[in-house]
Amino acid sequence: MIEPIESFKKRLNQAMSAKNMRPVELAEKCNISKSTISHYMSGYTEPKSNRLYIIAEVLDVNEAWLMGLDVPMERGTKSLLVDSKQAFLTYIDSLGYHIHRDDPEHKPFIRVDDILVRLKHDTLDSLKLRIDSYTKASIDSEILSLKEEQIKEERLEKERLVQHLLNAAHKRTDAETTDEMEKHDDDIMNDDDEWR
Amino acid sequence: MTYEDLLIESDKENLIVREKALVNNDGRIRGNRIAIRKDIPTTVEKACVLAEELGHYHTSAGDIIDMQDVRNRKQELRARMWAYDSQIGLMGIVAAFNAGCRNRYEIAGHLDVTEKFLDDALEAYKSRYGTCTVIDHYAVYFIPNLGVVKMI
Repeated sequence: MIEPIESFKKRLNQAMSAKNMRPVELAEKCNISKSTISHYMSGYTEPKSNRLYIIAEVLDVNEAWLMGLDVPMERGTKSLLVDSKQAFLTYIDSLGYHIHRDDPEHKPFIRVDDILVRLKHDTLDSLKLRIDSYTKASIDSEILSLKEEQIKEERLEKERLVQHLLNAAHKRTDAETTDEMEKHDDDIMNDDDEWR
Repeated sequence: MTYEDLLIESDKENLIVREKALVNNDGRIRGNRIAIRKDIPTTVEKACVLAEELGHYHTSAGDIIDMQDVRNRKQELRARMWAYDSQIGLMGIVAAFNAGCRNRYEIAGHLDVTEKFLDDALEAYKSRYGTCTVIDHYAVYFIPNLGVVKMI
């Protein structure tokens, strides 16, 4: 684990002087009380992650740097290795997948072998962000989970159908009947092997 | 219809009829599968069971296992009625009369059904037709007793 090399207090003061921002101004912009800000500045308390994120955003500095870690002060932008959409699609094609998104109103779908799997828009966007040597693996796992959903839906559909299937019994009258025996009969009726 | 006839009939409907080691039921139908309890002693009894399951096939829908539900009992009744009509029917009673049957047991023998099945059928016909009904040149009486009269 990376240890902080400087305190939050020191980094906060450094950032405020660098961005030329007064504590009152920071408090207003972050929607945090002035006394809390002064507690942060004196090192009396440290913010939790949700406030840390807001402060870092207002000051336009890297959260990790603000926490005191040994990273650059500037906020890193999430940049794509492949930034144009066309290049991304070409890259995906080279992995053996083909993404169709002719109609922007509908979900894009991905073709694997002969199967079409529908993708959510944000899934596609997150894939773009992760584009690296793991892209294939992440697409594969995405497809797998989507296929699982499809299989699950198919199974549920089948179960729904089975519920509507004709099912009737003619109870025997010459002997006592029990639930356990009923289950035995159910198993016979539902076992595909018995009916080949 | 005999057991054999019913088997041919169900084969035409693409039903799979098998004799299975059922323990709780004489007959079961699920989808296109019909199971008849293996150790039913006579084919006459088997025919009655199969006729009833065929009745379900022709008249029932959905899962009607739960006999607490009145709607399911109604479907059950309809299936039985179908079985009675296919195995006995008014014309069956008249045919038995023409064959010279003198009592219920002879009628049951003539029609290839069990006496229990015939009794149940006559009870059902009694509630359907009342005292008597006329079919072709015959009057069939159910109350007070089963009787067939040939009208000239």
